[in-house]
Formats: sequence, C-alpha cells, structure tokens
Amino acid sequence: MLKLGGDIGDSSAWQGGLSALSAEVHDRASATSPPDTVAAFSGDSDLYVADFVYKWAPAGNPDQRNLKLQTEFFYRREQGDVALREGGSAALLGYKGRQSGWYAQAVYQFVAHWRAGLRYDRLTADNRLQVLETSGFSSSADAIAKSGFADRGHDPQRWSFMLDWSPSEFSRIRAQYNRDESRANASDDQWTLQYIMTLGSHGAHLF
Amino acid sequence: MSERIIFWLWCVLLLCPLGANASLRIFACEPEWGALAQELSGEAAVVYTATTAHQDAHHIQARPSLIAQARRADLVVCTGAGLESGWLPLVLRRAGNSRIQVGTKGFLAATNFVPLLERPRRLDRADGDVHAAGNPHIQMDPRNILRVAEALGQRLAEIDPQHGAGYHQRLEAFSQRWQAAMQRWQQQAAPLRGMPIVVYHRGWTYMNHWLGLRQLAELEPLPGVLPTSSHLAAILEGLKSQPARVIIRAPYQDPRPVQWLHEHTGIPALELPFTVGGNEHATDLFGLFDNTLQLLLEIGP
Ligand SMILES: [Zn+2]
Repeated sequence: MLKLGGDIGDSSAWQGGLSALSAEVHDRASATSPPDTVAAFSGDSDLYVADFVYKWAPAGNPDQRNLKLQTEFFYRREQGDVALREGGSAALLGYKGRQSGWYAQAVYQFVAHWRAGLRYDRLTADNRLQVLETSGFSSSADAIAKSGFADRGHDPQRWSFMLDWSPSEFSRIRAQYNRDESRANASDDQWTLQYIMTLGSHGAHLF
Repeated sequence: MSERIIFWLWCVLLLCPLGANASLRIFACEPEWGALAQELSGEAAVVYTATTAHQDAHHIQARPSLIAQARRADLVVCTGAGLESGWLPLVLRRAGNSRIQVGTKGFLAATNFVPLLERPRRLDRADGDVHAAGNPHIQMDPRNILRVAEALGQRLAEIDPQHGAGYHQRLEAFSQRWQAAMQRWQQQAAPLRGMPIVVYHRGWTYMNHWLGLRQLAELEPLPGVLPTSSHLAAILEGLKSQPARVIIRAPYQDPRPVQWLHEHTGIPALELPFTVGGNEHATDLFGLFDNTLQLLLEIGP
C-alpha cells in the first residue's frame, strides 16, 4: 500500500493511494451459480486499487465554501480453473476474468450548512470461460451458464445527485436522487430523504 | 514482485525524513506559536506553521502535509486546552513520531503555562462547542506570550542542549524587548479602558482582560455555532439601550453578520489580525500588538 499527498498553495490539498493484493485462491465458490450446483475457482487473483482525493477551500478555510473531489478505481484479474458439479454431472472449465469498477464524485459546499453533490458509479466485467472436460452436461454453453462465472454482458452504472443541509455539526438532512442502471434492460429512479444524526463526541476531521 | 516494489517505496517514504536535516524541526499549530518559536530559535531551527490566520484553528483537517511535517518534527508547539482536539490527536497518531507525543518533551501546550479564564462550571453540548479546560485563545494578552516564551525557551534548550546557550540568550533578548513593548502598549492603550465591544467568537477574552475592554455580546449564539438571525436581532435590541463602540471579528470569520449589525446600528465593524499574518502589518508578534492597538485607538473609546 502506498499513500502520497500534499498541499497546493494555501487553498488546496490532495492525497492519492495505490494498493495491490495478490492471492492464490483454492476452491472459492461462485455466489451466482444455481442452488444445487457447486462451482469452485482455483487459481491466481490480483487486485489493484487506486484512489485520489482533492480538496479546495478559499485560503484553506472551508467554513463557508469548499469543494471535495474523490475518485476510486479497482481492477481484479483472475486466471485458473473452475470445477463444476451438479448431481452426477461434472465439468472443468478454464477461467480468465477481469473486473473493474470505479466511481467519481464531487461535493460542493456553496454556502455554510448547504452542500450539493454528484456521483457516478460503474462496474464492468469481462469473464472468459472455456470447457476443458465435461461429462453429463447437455452442452458447453449449459456448463458455462451453470458455473455462475460468466459475465452478463451488461455494465451496471448509476448517477446520483444529492443536496444536504446541516443545521449543526451533529445533524444533517439529505435529499438524493439516483438513476440506477444495475439491471440489464431496466433503469430505476430512486428518491430518498434521510435524516442523519451523530451521537457522542464529534470525531476527528479526517482528510 | 509488486509487493517488493511497494515495500521499498514505503521504506523510502518513512526513512528519507530522518536524514534530511540536521537542525531542529518545530511544528507550530498556530501562527503566534510559529512566530514565537522563530524568535526564540533563530537559525537553529526550521519552523513549520500548520495553520494560517485565515483558518479556524478549531476546525482543521488532518491533511497529508500536516502528517508529513509532524512525522519529521522534533518539537510540537500548540495552544492545547482543547483548541486543536478535532485534528491534532489524529495528526500525532498518524505521524507515528514518538518524540512529539503528548506528555513527552517534544510536545508543548502553551495553555499549560497560562492561568486560563472562563472555565465552564458544567459541560453540556447544549452550551455549544465549549472548551472544557477554559478559554484557549490566550494569545491576545502579551503577558501570556511572555509566559509561553519562558517555557518554550527552556524547552528548546532541553531538547537541543547543543544550542542551549544560544536559546537562553535569545530568550533573554526577546524578554527584554517584549517587556519594553508591553510598557509602551500599556500606556498607549490606557484610553481604551472600559470601551464597550461586541465580538464574533469568544476569542478576545484575554485581550479584554488585559486592556479592560467591556464585552457586551457575542455574535455566535453559542460558542462555535454560526450566528443566527434571531440571535443578531436580540443583540440589535440590546445595543439600543447599551451601545457598543465596535464590532470585532477575526480574519477567518464570516464578515456578513458583522456587516449586517454595522448597517443596522452604525457601530463600526473592525477586523483585527487575531494572530500573526492576520493582516499585512501583523508580520510578527510585535506587529500583531502594535497594529491591534492602533486599529482600536483609531476608533477610540
Ligand atoms: Zn474557541
């Protein structure tokens, strides 16, 4: 893990982070295979995460106006085998998967107590499977579908907009609108109104 | 492979500050202590000041640059008494520098050497962001600056004995100049005694105490809570029967409530530097007090 950061003049500060995680995986089950099916992945898994935060406030004083930009990106690469069993049927599949996800958001306090924010989230997956050995499944496509490791050919994304008002350091009222395109052929419009309250002594002002 | 690269990057990041500089490194939380540390150490130290006069020292974020500076510091000089409780503990923890933790020789809290005013009788969040140990805004009474100077001069000599004689000399010279200046200020400020004032935040208590100013109201309804229109209206009402000569605020505070009250009462609004760097005249501690008194005298009692 690596974190770096600094100031740009009196008004801006930034921080960036990078981390990498390598693992050798043995028999990790798929969460999306059908209930009577067992699919287990063994192989190499590498995860990379990058994040970046930028903050601005006039003369470094955020009381009235301030801006926070934030983005985070992750990328996972996996390669190995998937062992599949369903009743008396069995198959061995070669698996090569790449998944990535990121979000970017901007939150602007335009006057004391009031903030507006915009956020975009996206996930992508490119998973390739190849049947190496099979017995009992009707076709290669059937075995691949039942493994639960195939991608859906759809990249979920979401736009969010929020406006919040903080009458004090300990309470906040937030209105939020999400346009959620998680599902392949339908989008959801979500409206939420939240009241957020902090109890106990106020925590440190984290970057 | 990638883990090995990252391991080396970590080592470089953590170790490079150690050999970087031979002179003493001082981390000052507020500009007044940065200026004082510079007066007392001269060439023997490099002083980093974590905040400016345009920032509110109650509310600072533990940004990466602060943590990096604290990591390489030999001495941290702060106000204490809870002023920095929202951010300094985190900076010290993240810095991972055992020389400057609270309770060590490398940490000096100025308020430990000054009799504090306004110790609250009870603690309740309903009273706002009250400082439990007493009012920490001690810097606008020059007698407090002298008390802290004596403690800081001693401490410098203790942690950097190689330059001990130099620190004692500088402290002696500073004390003499400061005492002479205090006599001058006392004379200049004599007409201000009893002057009625309104302030934005409870940050001028020690100055009032020193000069005998009479504080009639605070624009904040509770300490740390932004002025509300109902509270301003109440102050306006009170000023009709008991008028003030001036409405005082620090550079980091919102000018609009002060301006509003000025427009509705005709009482002059005044931005005082509050700390070193608060305006172009307050370039050092002497300038801070010279300029503050000049601005108050221009308005007059
Ligand atoms: Zn305060």
